[in-house]
Amino acid sequence: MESLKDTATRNGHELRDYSCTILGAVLARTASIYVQLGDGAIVVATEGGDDYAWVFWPQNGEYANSTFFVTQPGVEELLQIEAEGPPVDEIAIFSDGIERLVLNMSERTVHGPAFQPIFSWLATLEEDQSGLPSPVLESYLASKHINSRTDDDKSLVMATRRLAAVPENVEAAV
Amino acid sequence: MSFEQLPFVPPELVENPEPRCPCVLLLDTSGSMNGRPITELNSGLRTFKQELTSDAMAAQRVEVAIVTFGPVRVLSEFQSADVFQPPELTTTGDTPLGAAIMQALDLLDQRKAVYKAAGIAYYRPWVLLVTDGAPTDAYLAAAERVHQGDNNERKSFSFFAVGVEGADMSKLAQICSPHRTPVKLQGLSFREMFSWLSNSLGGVARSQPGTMVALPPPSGWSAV
Repeated sequence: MESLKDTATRNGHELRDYSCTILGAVLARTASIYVQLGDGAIVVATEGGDDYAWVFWPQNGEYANSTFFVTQPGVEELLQIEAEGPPVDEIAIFSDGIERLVLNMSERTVHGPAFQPIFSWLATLEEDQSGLPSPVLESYLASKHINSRTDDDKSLVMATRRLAAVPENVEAAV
Repeated sequence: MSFEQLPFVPPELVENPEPRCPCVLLLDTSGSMNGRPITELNSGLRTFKQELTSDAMAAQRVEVAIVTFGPVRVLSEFQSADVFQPPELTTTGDTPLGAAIMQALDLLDQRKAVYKAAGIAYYRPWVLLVTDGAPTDAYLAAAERVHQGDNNERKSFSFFAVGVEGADMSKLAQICSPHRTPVKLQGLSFREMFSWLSNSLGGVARSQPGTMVALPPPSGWSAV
């Protein structure tokens, strides 16, 4: 918090210019580390790889349109850190506008079928498409169907290190 | 736990898990509202329903309850806008404003408890008071409760008051939180008022964390 203030002062900004929530992940082959402050969520594939689970539940204040920001007092107590997560092959990080499409808010679970087809599709992409915004996903998130169910703020980052399943008879066909 | 507080989640909250923006309409149906005022108010309620349901998100997220006075009566419990049916109000009785405010705020507290038990997220609730008179009961305790709940620290609800011709505006100002001056209705433009209310609630119901909800100005229905 103090260093955030220092940075703001040094750059001639107000502290509130730095007001934001945080979602972060560092994934290694052997372990995973996650941080979160505020709303949105991180979802990862479970160990068997056939389902999905959230890392931290979105943090909201009393009201649906209130959350916590890095610039607020007492932020140290609110910051959530998971330093000893098991390795994962699939991860999705998303802002609050996506929450209601993929999380079951009353059961506090992940709606697996919302992610499964996107991850499968992701695994089929060529490596040179990695790191680029996907027009397919963009138009899906901008569709009328999605917009009737959510607010505008829909940021979604997904990553996989699974390879698409190759049909077994592929050699025979060649 | 009393018999009235059953531990079940109401079915409408299971079927529709959208976050809710509850709004209590606290409407004066005392004798003096008889005639054109009540006719226009009823017409305004129908506009309210139409406008809320023309907004897909507001239709599912805004919940409306109606308390009338006097005597104080919960005319309709919280219902999402798509289910809500505007009632046909008739006039009777005096203006027990204090008791009516208490009833409205009790309703809100109960609804919040239901949302919490059901795991439903919600927005800061609204109360809209409409009256053409002055309280005929003790109202200071109710005013105190409004001040305690509608301020920048507590933010338990937002309390708006609208005075129809003949309303005691200085008493309304006493009841409202100091930062929310009561608005005087221009003539009987209830339809314009409800159109504003629908827009404002729609704005709240799609608002996101960290952004202030800018309410549209009450132009077209408030007298200056």
